[in-house]
Formats: sequence, C-alpha cells, structure tokens
Amino acid sequence: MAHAPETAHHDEGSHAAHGEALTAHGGTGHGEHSGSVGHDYTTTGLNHRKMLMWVFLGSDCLFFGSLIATYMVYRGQSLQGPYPVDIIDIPITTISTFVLLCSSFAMVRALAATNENNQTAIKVWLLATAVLGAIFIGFQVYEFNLFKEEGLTLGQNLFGATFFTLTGFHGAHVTLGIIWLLALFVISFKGRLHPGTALDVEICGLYWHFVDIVWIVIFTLLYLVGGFDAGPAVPGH
Amino acid sequence: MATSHETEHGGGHPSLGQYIVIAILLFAITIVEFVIIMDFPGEAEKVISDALGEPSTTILLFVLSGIKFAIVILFYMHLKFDNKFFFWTFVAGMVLAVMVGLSLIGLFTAIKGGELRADDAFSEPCYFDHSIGAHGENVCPDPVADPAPTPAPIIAPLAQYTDPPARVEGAGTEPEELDLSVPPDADIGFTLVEQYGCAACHSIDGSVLTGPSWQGLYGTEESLDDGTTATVNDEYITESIQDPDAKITAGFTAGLMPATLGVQDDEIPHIIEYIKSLQ
Repeated sequence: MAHAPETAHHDEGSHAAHGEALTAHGGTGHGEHSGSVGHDYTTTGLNHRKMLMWVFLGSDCLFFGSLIATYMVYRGQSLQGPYPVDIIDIPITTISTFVLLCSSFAMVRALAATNENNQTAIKVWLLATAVLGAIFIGFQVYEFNLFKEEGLTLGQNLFGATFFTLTGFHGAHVTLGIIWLLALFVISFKGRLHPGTALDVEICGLYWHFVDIVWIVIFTLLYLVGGFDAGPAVPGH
Repeated sequence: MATSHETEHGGGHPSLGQYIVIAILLFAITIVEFVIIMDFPGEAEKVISDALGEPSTTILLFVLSGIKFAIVILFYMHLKFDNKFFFWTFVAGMVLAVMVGLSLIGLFTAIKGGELRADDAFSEPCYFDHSIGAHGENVCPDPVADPAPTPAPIIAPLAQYTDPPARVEGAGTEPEELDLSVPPDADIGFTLVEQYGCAACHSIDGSVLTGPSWQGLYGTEESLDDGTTATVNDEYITESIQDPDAKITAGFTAGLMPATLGVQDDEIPHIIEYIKSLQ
C-alpha cells in the first residue's frame, strides 16, 4: 500500500475501496477476511447471517407484541395500588429515551467508521454505544428499585406483573446488546473490524436499533399513554 | 443481482449530515411527545392534551411514535436502501405481532365487562353493570327487587368486584344502610360479604380460588406458611380482615388481599357469623 504520498484520509479511502471490492466480488484468497460478506454462496444472493438476524427480529416482534398486548389487556385492571399514575415518572424516562436514541446514533457512526476503516472511530463509537446503553440500563435499575420501594413488585398487582415482565425483557435485550457491543469493542483492538468484516458490526447494529424501536413503542404505550392510569376501569370501558 | 445490490447498498448510505438530521428529528419528536402530555407548573394542567381530548392525544402520540419507528428501521437499519427481502421479512413479523396483539386485546375485551371472572364460571351469568348477559340479553336479577337468595348460593355475586370499597371512603358510602346493632347475623354478614366483594377470592363451596375457601373453615386448625398452625376463631378472622398478611394459610400468597377494604369493626361479627354458617 502506497503510504508515503497519501494522507491518512486517503489511506482510509483506499481501505474502504478495498473492502468494497471484496464485498462486491465476493473475493477469494483473502484469508484474513474469511467469513466476511459475499463469501458464502446463497440462492437469494443475500447473506445468511444478515437474513438470520432479520428473521430473528421479525419473530422478536411477536415476542414483544404479545407482552405489549398482555399489558394493554390488563391495563387499568389492577385492584390495588400502586397504579401507574402513582409512580410512573415521565420526565426521567424521557431522558433515558434520549440516551437510547443517542446510542442508536452512535451505533450508526460505528458502522460508518467500520466501512471507512477508521480504527479509532470504530473503537470510540462502539464504546460510546455500549456506555449509552449501560446508562439506559442504569436508569432502569434506578426506576425498578424506586418502584419496589413504592410497593410495586412483580406479584403486587396486574400492573406490576405486566410492567416488569415487558420492561424487564426489554432491559435483558439491551443488556445482551451491551455485551455484544463490548465483545466487538475488544475484537476491534485485534484489528479484526474493517470494511471486510463490516457485516459483524452491521448485524449487531440491526439488533441494537431493534431494541431502540421496541423502546419507542414501550415508551409511548406504557409511559406517555398509560402513565396516567389509575385504579380499576369501569366495566364496559 | 447480489453484487450490484451490495455495491448500491454501499453507496446508498445516508451521509453523516443526513444521519445528524435524522437524529435531531428523532429527538425533536420525543420532545414534542413530552410537551404534549406533561403539565407545566404555573400553567393550566396539561394544556395541549386537554385541548385535544384524550382520543386525539392518543392517536397523535401513536402517529408520532410510528414516525420515529419508521425512521429508525428505514434509515438506521437501512431497510430503505437494503434488499426488499429483508424489509418484508421484518414487516411480516411486525404485522403478525400487531395481529396477535389486537386478537389478544379483542379476546379479553370483546366479551362485555372485561375478562372472564370467577362468577362467570361458577354461577349464573351476571355482569357487573346488571344489564347485559353473555348473549346480549338482560340476565341479571335486579338486586333490589329480587334480592339474592340467602340459602347458600354456589358463590356470592361479585357486584362490588370492579369497584371495591377500598376506593370509596369508609363504610358510610355503602349502598344499603344495615342495622349493625343487632346480634351477629349471618344474613347481614352475607350482605356485607357481597358488598366488599370477598367472594372474588374466597369460595363458599370448598373450591380453591385466590384465597382459602370459607366452607367449613370456622373452628378448623389451619396450617400456616411459617409451619405453625392456628385455630380459625373470631380473633383469627378479625385479624385476617384487619391485617390480611399477619397469618397466611399454607399454599396461599401473601400480599393479595387488601388491608384497605374498609370493613368496619362493627361489621366483622356479622361476617364471622356468616362464615360460621358455612359448615
């Protein structure tokens, strides 16, 4: 690689072009890039791992859809408090929603940096994504503890049962995503993240953004719409 | 096909500037949502959502979060630029999820009066608004003109179930004024049990609901969850009403019975008398 006459930027550019070529032609003979995009023969022309992730995300929609529906079914059916209106704190959750949205932006930057083969940026943005995710989980731990002190537990009432099940599973998804991001972060120090392996980052990103959109739905339904719910609903309503 | 697509995919990514615009858009929508539903100190409460009315507010919030949802999957997750196969794989799951959700909600609420309750299963069909039965006809006896028969029904009606007295202030708001000064009376006890909705959790036919059945309960030796036993007498029942979690029968869960039912001290002897009658 002709380093001398080129600036660092151009060097990155050539790396990117290299990766693009590899991707486009499904190049062989690049042992160091084994497992990257385009190496596997598929009848659809689509990468199997990426397909797998999308199928998983499609089925995960059903998982969260059922939990959300269960929450909506039992909305306003709790016979004893605490009710959402007593304990849901919308301002704080709005902040944690911001944090999660920021992490999605950081994830997008991490993928872009991988495609540009900007090694420093890859590490910075991957870590930023993981840290923002961890802050979101921190908010959730704080919220769960607060609710527990207020008397809301999994077994207290229907609100507690459906709320903790839904947000707990979402939190578990975020936690898994953080572990995945940190694993990528560690791998990046071995120089194994570059345009040829950008799919590794992209798939993790798909998962991460999915967790973000699930939160968009949860935030709207459980906090913005359902956050003011009080005691038992009047029959027929 | 694949190669041309991948190449196009590589070049079709939004630029940094576009990503920043998208991020700002997402933040802005979240702020708008927040402003719509929050009330601010010094202002009339919830100015915007009150002006819009509840249904419009909810629809507006759904639309706004739908826009956020779409932006993330189309741009952050590249579905706008990526192969349509991925798009439809995800949309299929999403549509199924919405259908499962609507079916579940429909299943539980389309039947008049909310979810199926104990009295639907064990007793004559009787819904809480005393107007419409399972098949749309009026099947509920008028509680005033046709008082519930005292000779042990299978399970007491749950007229108060969805509006427990805990949500009302004290016993002063009882629908009927009872003369409690008479000696303990099982009929008065039954009326009180009806009013407080006790039968939601306590059967009188031996079947196990959320709480222990009252059939033949009085005078028995109950095994408690801490390994000890206790005799069911007046003191035990009084304590169980006033402080439900003081003693928990083995096999049942603490914390389910509210201590705030609003049962008055002079009502308890009548309830005990009623439980005694269930031998």
